[in-house]
Amino acid sequence: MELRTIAVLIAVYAAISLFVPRILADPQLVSKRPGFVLYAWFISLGIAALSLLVALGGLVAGALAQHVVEDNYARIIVPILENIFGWIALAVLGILAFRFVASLTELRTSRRELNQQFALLIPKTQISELYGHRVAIFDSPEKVLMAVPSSHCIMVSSQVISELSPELLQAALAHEQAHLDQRHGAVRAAGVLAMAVAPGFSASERMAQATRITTELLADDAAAQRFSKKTVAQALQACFGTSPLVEERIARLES
Amino acid sequence: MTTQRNRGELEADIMTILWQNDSPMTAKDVQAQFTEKVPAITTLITVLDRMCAKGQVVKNSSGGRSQTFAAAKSRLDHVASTMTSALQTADDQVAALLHFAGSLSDEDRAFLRKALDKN
Repeated sequence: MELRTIAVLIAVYAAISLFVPRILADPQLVSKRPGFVLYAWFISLGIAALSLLVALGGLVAGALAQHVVEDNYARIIVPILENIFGWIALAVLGILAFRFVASLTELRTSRRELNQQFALLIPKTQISELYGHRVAIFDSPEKVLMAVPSSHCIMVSSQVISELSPELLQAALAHEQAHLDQRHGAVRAAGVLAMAVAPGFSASERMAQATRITTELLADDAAAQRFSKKTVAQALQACFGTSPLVEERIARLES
Repeated sequence: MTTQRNRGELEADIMTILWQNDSPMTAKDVQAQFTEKVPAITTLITVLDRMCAKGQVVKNSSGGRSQTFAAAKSRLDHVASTMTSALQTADDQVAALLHFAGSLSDEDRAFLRKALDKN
């Protein structure tokens, strides 16, 4: 691979890292078009990652080629530089691979532990089914309602059921169902991995934040399509009215 | 070098011993069940009393010197209650849970607030 091609690929990576966060991290764009923002992030991440990996691979391949074919003693500087870049590229690839595998292993371990704990809790729950997803109802005075992507399951406590009207409960369950249907667990995991692989980079931090915010907004919007924005806002209010955690989402649904 | 359990480990070991035995046990009975790093009887009594105060263990006093201890909840009930509390407060930094309340940090919420303020 020519050095010019490698330089272009690295420029593509740098341009995406620098400019995409500035464009996609616009609060109004995220609030109004969360789906577009999420897809744009993933396409940008794919292009940036591919450009970087191909460029680094090209540098390593170039350095290896220098070892094999070296019959022009007049060229001294370029081969030395290619070797240096090759070693640097190899080190960066190694670090990225190590961080990716370590983060993925940590993610899988924590999910496995959570599933083991859920297996202990399941005998205490009453299982229903909602559009192909398991809904596990368990007795608790706490307000717990969540989707567990690794188990394709929605957990709901008796307190939530007793406090919400049937319509509000259905709207709340539709929000969790959207998380499972749209594979938001995997989306969030990609954000977590992006941040773990490239910590300290504005682009990876922005992407992780975007995955957190857009998945919540997309689930709210999916529930609002089936019921209404007002109903979803009321469900959030009824469940967590006193919590500041949901203020902005309620305001967005009511606006 | 002697290694000692920390307080949490000792409490967990005591709970396991109490769950394995159907009938209430004295502190000496509990001590006898330890095969390694056997805690002192005074330590055991102190920890058992603390666990009683926390509601994990119930103490039966027959008026004499022998007090017996038993687990307040079955292992399954204990796990269910611990899990429920953990679920209530768990964050989703590993994207394992997606709460209806959301998992937006203060920074995320400030970001959303900017969009709402501009409307």
